[in-house]
Amino acid sequence: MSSPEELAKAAGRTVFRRSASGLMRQFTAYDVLVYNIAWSMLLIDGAAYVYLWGPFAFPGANIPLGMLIVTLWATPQFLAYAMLASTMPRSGGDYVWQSRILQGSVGFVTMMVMALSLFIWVALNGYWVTAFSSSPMLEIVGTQVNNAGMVNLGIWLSSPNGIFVGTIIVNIVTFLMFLPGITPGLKSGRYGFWLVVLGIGALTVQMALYSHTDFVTQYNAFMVKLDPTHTNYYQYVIDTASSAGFAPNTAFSWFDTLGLMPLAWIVLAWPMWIFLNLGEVKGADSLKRISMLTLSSLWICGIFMIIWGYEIVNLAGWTFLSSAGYDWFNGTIAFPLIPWFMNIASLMGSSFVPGLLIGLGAMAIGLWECWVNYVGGSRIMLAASLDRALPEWFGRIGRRFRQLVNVGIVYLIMGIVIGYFYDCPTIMGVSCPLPTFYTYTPYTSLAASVFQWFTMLAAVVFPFRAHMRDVWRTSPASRYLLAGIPVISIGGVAGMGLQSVMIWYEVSVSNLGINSQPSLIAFGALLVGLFAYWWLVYGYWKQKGLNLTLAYREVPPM
Amino acid sequence: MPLFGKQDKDKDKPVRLFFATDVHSSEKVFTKFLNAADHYKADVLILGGDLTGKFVAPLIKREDGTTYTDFLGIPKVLRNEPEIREMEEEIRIAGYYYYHTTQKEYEQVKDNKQKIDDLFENLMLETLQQWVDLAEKRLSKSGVKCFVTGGNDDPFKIDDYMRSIRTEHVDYVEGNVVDVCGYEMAASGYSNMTPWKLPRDLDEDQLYVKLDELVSQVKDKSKAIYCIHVPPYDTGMDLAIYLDKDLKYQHAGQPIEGPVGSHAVSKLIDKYQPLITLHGHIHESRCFYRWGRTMCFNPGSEYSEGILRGVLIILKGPKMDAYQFTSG
Repeated sequence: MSSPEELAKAAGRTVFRRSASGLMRQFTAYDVLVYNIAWSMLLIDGAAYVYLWGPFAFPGANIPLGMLIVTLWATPQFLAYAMLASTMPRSGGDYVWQSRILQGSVGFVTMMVMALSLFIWVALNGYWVTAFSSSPMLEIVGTQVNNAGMVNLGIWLSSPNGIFVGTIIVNIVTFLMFLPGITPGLKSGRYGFWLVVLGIGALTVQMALYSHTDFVTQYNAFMVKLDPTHTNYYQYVIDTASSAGFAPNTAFSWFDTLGLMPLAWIVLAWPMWIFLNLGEVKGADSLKRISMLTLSSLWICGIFMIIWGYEIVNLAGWTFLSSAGYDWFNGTIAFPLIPWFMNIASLMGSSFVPGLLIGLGAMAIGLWECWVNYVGGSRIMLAASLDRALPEWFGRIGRRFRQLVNVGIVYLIMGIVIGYFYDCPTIMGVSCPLPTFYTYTPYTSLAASVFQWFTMLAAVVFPFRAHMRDVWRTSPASRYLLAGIPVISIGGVAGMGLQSVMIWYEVSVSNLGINSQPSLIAFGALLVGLFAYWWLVYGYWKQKGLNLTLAYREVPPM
Repeated sequence: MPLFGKQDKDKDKPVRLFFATDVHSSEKVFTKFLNAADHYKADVLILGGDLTGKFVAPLIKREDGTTYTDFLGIPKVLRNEPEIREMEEEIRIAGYYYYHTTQKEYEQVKDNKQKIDDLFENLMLETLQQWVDLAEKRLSKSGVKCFVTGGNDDPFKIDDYMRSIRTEHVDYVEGNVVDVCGYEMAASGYSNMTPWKLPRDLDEDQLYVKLDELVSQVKDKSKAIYCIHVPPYDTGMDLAIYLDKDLKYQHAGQPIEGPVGSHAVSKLIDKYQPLITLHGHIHESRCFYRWGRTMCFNPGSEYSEGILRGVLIILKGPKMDAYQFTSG
């Protein structure tokens, strides 16, 4: 039965309402929090980079401390996001907030950077479903149950050919899930959610159950089955890195500890994507609800990453992790099983069950995350098409499937193309003509940092923009001030600071893989190119009688 | 046009039409809508249905002379006239009605459905009168005409009232076919059945009969505009969150959305292929859909944030030349 009391509380207890459409019960906080673990938290797969790439790239880092710092620092940013969302709940997110508060071309450029980075994401999701999950799961489970077929299939799935074929399959399956609309993906994701929860649970328990000595023994016993030439694979990993000049044990460093933040952002950038349509009832209750949801999501992610950081270092040892990271990143060892933290956890013990649960959880994340990327990317393109910044083609709903079919096709093709370059150096025996994209994974983090920087700028200036005065006045967020300063602005400043630091690391630290001159020139050219494109399109529509800058310009009241 | 024929300049003169909908008594959005004629250089304004508000925020005068409100769930005590005026403006911006009352009066009204209904009716009609007066004053300067229709959220009582207060530049066209700068427009605020079972909600069969009867009156269907509140089914313009019988979100981790538009409207568009169709009803589904030669639009609504969502459409002869979704 509909609850007038709930509506009254949100709208105001004394407020009268009449029977009208749109008035509905609110989504409960528990529902959102529990179920959105599957959608916006890229735990397991996303976190893996912190525990292998992190120790190599930043050998003086303290992982649990780094995760705590980034989670704390992200908190005011997430609060600012919650305030923007509760102020303009139906507006469509970052693109619209930036276009409306800042300027149309800014919103277009940053969101197109995000939309284009999703091409890397959908290729990455193929990598996650193969090399991160199905491959190690089959190798580990196959070894534990003595099934050579499973092991061989697992090994193949971690080869460039296997990953590329897997990426094609993942993207085709995702495209087919995308076509009939959002509901099938959501409904099937109910099952994916449970796989993710079980996977997270199994991972956490596994790493807690065993000591470092157990790890060394069991790791060696496992790896000798995959590579009989090395009976002490643990030492082999450390010695290989050492002989290449890598020094794994350095003194604690704040620089290195903060350097983990861009890697952690592969996970922590996304818990704010759980914004709901708040329906017709806006109010303080909505702001409290959405703040709680976003901050809880952030902190659940953060807490797991802190705990896992502590557990994996205790289990595998810092020397091994950082050496393994070096060997993997530089290709000095062709690992039959890459020592991602979930693989390390999976091979511990004699039971295949933990490995199975962890593998299925990681697969579920990879697959459903791919679908979320298709959906999210299509909505960005639709918004830009409605403004006429992108051609109508991108916003066209298909007659047969009633979906943004054209955008889906774009993501399908680009997912496969980028996947090809992602999985090189050779596929089907042919060397790739371009550098392997795999080391460009942190570009996903850089793209997120760029568009979030501008959203945080919008949050900072929002209360002070003359043309947004009325929107701000009726915003529940306008009631929250600290020493006379709007909390949303304070959150925005903190968020801009966080994103600035991460961007600086990404463009200056070579071990994060994306600061090569060609890579940065390409990114800079992309930004300039998108700005130039926007102004060209502006000129085209001007001569047809439309002004693109009016898409979000405030209409003056009478 | 013949090779050596004379060009009829008036016939080919583009018509700039601005459409917005679902303002739900937000004065801020309505005043922006009136100003959209200048802002977007529109030749004509069309306001879709769902004109009336859903909430009344009482401003309760207390014995100590202060005024109390908990509008948007935030308790506030207003101590002087400027504060009261400011709160009234905030309430209007958000699309609520307000009314001044005393604690005693409020206690008498709050549990009395009839009194609440009467209160809503009075406030709706009062607000609509103010709006029409404002619109006439504003638009008479530019000569731009404004056509207004109803929506399924609007009680029937407003139909006769709006017809009775129509002016030279503001015409209430619900249920009629009218001339809009040389294009015939058929307007209807009826909808297919919604979970709230409102008075203008009809079963699909009934809706089809009603709408077909209306649009059949259009003589030149190739240049017809249909302003029908509910969008056609499964076109992206009608995606809404599914509710269960308790009006609670259905969900699977996130709210499940799906098409809730009208099959009747789809059939009509398919059958008659008008030039453009204008819809509202689903605030979140800001979208367009190309249906054969017909272009369908739903600009959505963000009335409670005081944001005017609309679409500027440029018609040229029997063609739609350009369009742009706006958010001002």
